[in-house]
Amino acid sequence: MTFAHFVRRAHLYTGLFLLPWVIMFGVSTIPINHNSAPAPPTWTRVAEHPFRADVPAAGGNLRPLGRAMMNAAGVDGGYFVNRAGANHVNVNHPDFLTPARIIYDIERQTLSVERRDFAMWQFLSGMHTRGGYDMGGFWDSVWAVFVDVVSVGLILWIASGVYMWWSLPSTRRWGWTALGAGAVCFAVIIATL
Amino acid sequence: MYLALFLAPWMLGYALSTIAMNHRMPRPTAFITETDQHYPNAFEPGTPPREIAQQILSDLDLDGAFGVQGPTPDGRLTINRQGMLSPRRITFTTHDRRVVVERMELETSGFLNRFHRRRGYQQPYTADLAMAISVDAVIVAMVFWALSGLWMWWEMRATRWWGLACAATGMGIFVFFVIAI
Repeated sequence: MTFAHFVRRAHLYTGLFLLPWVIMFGVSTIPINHNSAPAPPTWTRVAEHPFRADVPAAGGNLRPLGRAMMNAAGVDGGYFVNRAGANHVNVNHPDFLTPARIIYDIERQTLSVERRDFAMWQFLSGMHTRGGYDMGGFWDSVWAVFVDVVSVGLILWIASGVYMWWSLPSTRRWGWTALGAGAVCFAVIIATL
Repeated sequence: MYLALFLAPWMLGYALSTIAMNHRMPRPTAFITETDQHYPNAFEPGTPPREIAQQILSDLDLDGAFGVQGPTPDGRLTINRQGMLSPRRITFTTHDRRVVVERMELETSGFLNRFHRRRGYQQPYTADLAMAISVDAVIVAMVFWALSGLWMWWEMRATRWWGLACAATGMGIFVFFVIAI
């Protein structure tokens, strides 16, 4: 196998493997770029539990409390946690299909668990924006690895694409035109934004 | 191929910015004061903050996409002039009619973040419109590359089995994620 053959095959097979992510990132950008106001999602209360826990002082680390709330609610995976006013702590578990939110009412010492109905706009934008290694869920971190893999894949496809283009002398003039025009348009947009 | 060569800078920008965002690279927000000057113009009471902001930006020769906060009870209006390379914060205080212009220092992760998040057709400026159109072009291109890639793969008989294995594995993992997390 020559180097050129290896590059072509790597370009093809990695592209096929990561195809769902490429389509997802492309399609999910539509509602984001067109900022179509989504219909307000419907949240349904699925459970309420008695719950009592110490709440850290303002500025303290809320993640241990968030994990305790997730465990008490019987929800696994990654989560975000924030203090919502003096009397509430909210945990959001960003499931792609039906996310959960868990609300700790400090005064009433209750934990209410709500699930959001499936909504296409939120589903798409949720997949687009999901990432990071700090959510505390194993599979969330694996998803973040795939986000990195797709990003590195994009860079490798650019490099291998340029290499394959350069291997076709008959396309060089138009290729240079496309590459140059793209670079100029990009630079002008960036400089004037 | 030509479309990919044209859009290569955008794809490289989105790839690098995704890595930066996925790793939560810090975004320092240090501002440097550019000017601190008297602002002679006055506004009628009740003038909408956005209108005041637009006038100030125009007077300062800083027209472009912006957001506005305030006025606060002490009469401070903060204008965030969006900029890809160096965003500016303009603070207007009504009681002494002063305008302070501060510029954010250019640093890589902040720039990548701004690039990745810049989108939409809400701002009435040509550069923003061009950016939004380019984002739509990237969307169309990504879907087109996926579909044309599938077609080109299918045309190469020698690669069908390995290609099918890669596509099926990727699809399986993706569906698992959609259901599981």
